[in-house]
Formats: sequence, C-alpha cells, structure tokens
Amino acid sequence: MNQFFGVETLAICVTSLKTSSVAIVAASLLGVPVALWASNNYFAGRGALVTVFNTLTALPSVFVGVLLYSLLSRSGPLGSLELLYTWPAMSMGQTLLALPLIVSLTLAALSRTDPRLRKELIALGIPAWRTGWILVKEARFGVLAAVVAAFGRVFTEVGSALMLGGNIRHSTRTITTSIAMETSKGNFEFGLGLGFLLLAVALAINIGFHSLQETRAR
Amino acid sequence: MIYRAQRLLHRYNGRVALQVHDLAIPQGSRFAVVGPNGCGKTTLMEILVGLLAPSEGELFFYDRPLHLPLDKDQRSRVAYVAQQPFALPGSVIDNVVLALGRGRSRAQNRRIAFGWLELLGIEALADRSERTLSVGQLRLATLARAAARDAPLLVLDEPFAFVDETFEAIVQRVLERHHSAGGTIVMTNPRRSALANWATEVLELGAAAPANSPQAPAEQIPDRAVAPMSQPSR
Amino acid sequence: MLHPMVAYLLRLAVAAFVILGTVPSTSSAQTHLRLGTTTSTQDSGLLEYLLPGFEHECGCRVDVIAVGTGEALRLGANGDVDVVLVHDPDKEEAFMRDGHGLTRSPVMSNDFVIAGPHSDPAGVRTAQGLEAALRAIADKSAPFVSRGDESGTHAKERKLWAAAGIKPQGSWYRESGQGMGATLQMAGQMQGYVLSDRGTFLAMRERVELEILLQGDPRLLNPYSVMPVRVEKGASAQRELAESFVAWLLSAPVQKRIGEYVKDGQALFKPNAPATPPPKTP
Repeated sequence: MNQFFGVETLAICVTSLKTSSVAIVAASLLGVPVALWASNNYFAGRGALVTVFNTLTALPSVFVGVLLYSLLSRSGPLGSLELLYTWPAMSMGQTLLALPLIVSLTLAALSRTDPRLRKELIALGIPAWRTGWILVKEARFGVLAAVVAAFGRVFTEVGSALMLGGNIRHSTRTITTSIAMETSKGNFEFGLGLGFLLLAVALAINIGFHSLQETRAR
Repeated sequence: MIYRAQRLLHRYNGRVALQVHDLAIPQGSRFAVVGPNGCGKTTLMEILVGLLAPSEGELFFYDRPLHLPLDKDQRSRVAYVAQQPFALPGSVIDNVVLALGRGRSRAQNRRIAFGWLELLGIEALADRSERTLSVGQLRLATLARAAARDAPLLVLDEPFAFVDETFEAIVQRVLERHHSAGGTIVMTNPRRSALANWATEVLELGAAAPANSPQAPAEQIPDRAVAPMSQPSR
Repeated sequence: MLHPMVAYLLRLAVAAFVILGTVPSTSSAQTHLRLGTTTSTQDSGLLEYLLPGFEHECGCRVDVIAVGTGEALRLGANGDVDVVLVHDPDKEEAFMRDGHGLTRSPVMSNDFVIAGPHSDPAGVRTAQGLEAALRAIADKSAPFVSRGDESGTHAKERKLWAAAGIKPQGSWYRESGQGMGATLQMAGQMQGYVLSDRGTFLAMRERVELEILLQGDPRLLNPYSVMPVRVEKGASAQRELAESFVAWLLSAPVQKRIGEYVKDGQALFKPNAPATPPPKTP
C-alpha cells in the first residue's frame, strides 16, 4: 500500500493540477472569444446557441470520456495521434467539460457590462480584437468567476479522466481517479484523505484567484 | 450627398420609435434634427453612425447601402458623440489616443491627442481618470475623442446637454472649425429655435410615440442645452 | 467578426494538444507497454510486486490499465493496449477467434470463494456442494450481491448459476455494477452473499463483516490468461515488446515468483504456465 504522505501522492497532485490547468487555459482561450463573438453579434440562432451552451454545462463527464475515447482510440479517427492514456487526452476531455461553463458564464458577465461601452468602442472604430479585450477587462470579475467555476468542475471530475487517462500509475493517475480506485479497493481512509487533499488544493487555488481579483480591482 | 434614405422606420418591441419619410444630408451641411423627446432623434443618430440597423428602409451612405457592421472605410468617415457622455476606462488622454488608431508611435499619438485636448482647453485634465470628471468635462473629453478621429462627418446627439456657457462656447468653436474645414455636421436638439440660426438644413421629427406618452425625465432637457447660438452662419 | 479568430484559436488549441501529446514520450525517451488487465491483479498488489522486474529487464515502462475483463478485451480489440491479462475463458476464446490476439497462454490461477454473513441464513456452510448452496440462497431469497459489470468474476458467477439450473432474479439478487472491492463493501453492509476472488476478499477481510462459507470446488478455479494483441499496421516494436513480456511472464523464475507471492500469510495465485511456451504465430 502506498503511503499517504509520499512522493507518489505529490506526483498525483501535480498530474491533477497540470491536466486541469492546461484544460482551463485552453477552454478560456477558446471560450472567451466565442462568448465575445456571440455577445457582440446579433444573428439568427443566437438565442439557440446560448441555450445550447447553457445546456452543455450539464454535460456528463463520463459521456465526454466515451466520446473522446471513440475518437482517440487506435481504431478511432484520431488514433494515429496516440493520445489515449496520456494526460493531454485527459486535458482534452476536461477542456470540453469546461468550455460550455466558460462560454455561458462569460456571456452572462459580458451582458452585465454597460451597453454604452460597446457602442462607444464600435463608434470609435476600435478593431474587434481590441474591443473584445476592453470588454473582457471591464467584465473581469465575471470572467474570472467563470474560470474559477470551470476549474472547480474539471479539477473534481473523475469520469472522463478515468476513461481517457486510464488511471496509470506514475503517469495519468490523478487525485480523483485515485479516490475512485482506493475506494473500490476498500481503502476508505485513503480515499477520504485524498478527498480532503483535493479540497485543500482547490481552496488554495480559489484563494489565489480571489487575490488576483482583489489586485486587479485596484 | 452623404446620406440618403426614404421611408426609414425603426421599431422597439413592436412600437414605432422612428419614422422618416425622406432623408437627404448633403456634404458640407450643418444638419439639425429637432423634435420633442421620444421622437426618435437618438435612434436616428445611432442608425446614421451604424450602431443600429433600421427595421425598414435602406440607408445610403456616400451612395452605398449602409449595413452593419460598417466596413473600415465607412467607419473612418464618421465620428459620433453620444448624448450621454461615456468615457472608456483609463485617463482622458488614453481615451483620445484610443480613438487615433494605429500606425503611429506611442509618443506621436500622445502628442496628437494632447493637441486635441488643448484645442478644447482641457489639457489640464489629460492624466485624470475618467471617473473623476464632471459631466461637462466628460462631454468635452468625448468630443475631443470624436474630433480626434478626423472624420469628414461629425454626428452629435444633443451636444449642449450638460455643459455650461463656458463649455458651450468651446463646443461651438470645435464645430465651427470642423465646418470651416469642409466637414459636415449632424446634430440633434430638442428645440427648433435653438438651432434656427445655425443650421443649413433642419429635419423636424414628429412625436412617433402615442400622443399622450409620458415625457422623458426633465433633467434630460436642461435649459442651457437650448441656449441660442448667436453667431451667424457664413 | 471574430469568426476567423475563433477558427485560428481552434487550430492553435488542437496543435497545442498534439504537441503536448508527443512531449511525454519524447522527453522520457522510454518505450511503454500497455497492459490491459483486471482490477483483481492490480488491487491484490501482484503487479506492483512483479512488474518492476520486467521494467528493469527491458528498460521500458509498463502502463497498467486496470478495468473489468470485458472492458480490457474491448481495449485490446480496439488496439488501445498491447497485451491483455484477463480471466474469462469464454471471452478469451472469442477474442482469439475474432483474430484480436496472437497467442493465448495460461499464466496462473487463483480461486473464487462464496462469502457471506456469519449467521449464514441460507446454510451455505453446510450445503452439499456448490449447486446446493446456490439453490439454498435462491430458495431462501437471501440477498446476493452480483458484480453485474461483465467482468470475469461476473461471467464466472453466471456460469455457476446456470450450472445450478437457476435464473437469478428478484429483489434478493442485486447487481452492483462496480468493482470487486465496492461489491464486497455492499455485500458486507447488506449482510448478503457474494462471489469474490480470494485475493480481493483477503485484502478486504478486515473491512467487511463477511466470511468465507464455501471454497475448494474445482469449478471455483479462476484461470488467468495472457494474450498479446494483434496490431493491424506498423507498431512492430510494440508487438515484440508484448511478446517478450509474455515470454517473461511464462518463464520459470517469474512463475516461481508468482507462486511465492503471499498476502496475509496466504498464497494468492498458483502459477500454471505450460512447460513450453506457446508457438509464435507470424
């Protein structure tokens, strides 16, 4: 049996953090522009698009796991990339999980900005990318809240990480897949300990985000 | 002709907010749009500067149909000062620099922006944050920002709202300068009398809203805003 | 208006993932053998005990993907693992028939036990043989917790019910759909009967209020086989690695080590590899 306070536990934490952080960065880089685009343009089907993203925030993580597995499997269309059972595969799954949350919460944050700001930026002929940047800066509290919420979702999910990572020791074992494994082995104490560890790491990250909001508010 | 349109109509939630049968704004004109509050002056201004698409009718801008979003060339031809002055986050000079666009060094941009602030007599406010300005100061800052874009057409929605006599004279000086340089000015005002001496063309909008619709809050039509312009045109 | 930008970012993200995906394999510069196996081999600690020897010998890493036998075979059929170590003879034969495996060799066996509450309401402890014990459980409608997850254990359990002439159904027959450990936990909480492999039961013994009520029947034997996976195209290095793993696993010293693996004073696996390794198919 592994020791709780050991190098292996630390490595599991690092894998969890690495996977989730990459996923959050990717989902933010994709999701925030999508939200900006959807909030700056009125087009047919815009309401439907927003509804779709709101619905996808309830995407089951195991479903994402099966979906990406069928794509990344050696017998699947993207099998030649050989990504299955690597941490980037887990990150991809988590990106898909985080994306709808970031899009819909960022859209909500952007809709709370003063409509006059957008009008002024358009009337001044500010380029689209710069308009977007200014709007995101204006809505930064809401956008950061979206990122924090999405991080919470992907950091604690287990379904897709288990399917896409495979819970491989020294490689793709994360805090959540460890909890699942130790619990099924009957090591409830170990599982509980890892659960508290997960909460502690999540707490530390939230404190970090909070202080970021504080400093940027000034 | 800069603008041309027939049977322009705009609705908000099914209610007709603006109705213009015939619109023609010639180059070099001083075009006044007058009418009571709620007649659609701001709606018309937003349609003219490409912030709003009319519900019905097509608007021609330099003989080309105007569609949203405006292309770069169309956008560069029109500058807008909204009724409620709204500054972007940052200092006053940041606001003006932002309007200047790219293609120059930062130092050059700042120098040009400072020139505009000097013209409006608010160079002392250059490094003040937009949050610390009075409404009148904000009005001048947004005017400087619009003027700095150096567009041939200047569209202003009630530019004399919120300004006192001193500031009003400054606004007039900027408008005069723009016009004498060959520019075109489109401006709204609630009362016809205020612009009678100034305008070369006047469009009077009727109350499009139901006849007994409630008037907008009184502070939107301060008396100062309708101070007559004494200097004769040409 | 942000349309091309979004498309650009999308391409960028995919490219980033592909690059990231290739980084781990190049940075560690190590070959990886993917072993698809059942939770019982991992949870019993056997693999942790055995595998370092092979990793040292071949200079590679063995990535263990521990799932149910059904899923492990599915991963093998899809080519997502290089070799499978599983325990379900019927499914293994089907796997070979469908051409997914190169060879199939017995490796070892452990045995199943029927565990249940100390009070033993169905009288399994005193039943005359395996069939009688199962019939007694069904007759008394005593709670029985089944894996219900298409694992090797689940397959074995269904075969035993069929041999006893019983179609298990009703409120007393509960399918957990979970791994062995979790299923034992549930059986302990419900004070029900359960079919478990001996290794997991021993590991869980102190946590569940269950005891072994029936053991030793030859039909409770649980044979494990190893099968290197046939790879369609390329990847001959993986195939060679898989075959060398099989040869290593069947070699006399490793077989001896399997027999020596002891947990809580009990040997868990009995090596049973044939004296001569299986012929290699080209």
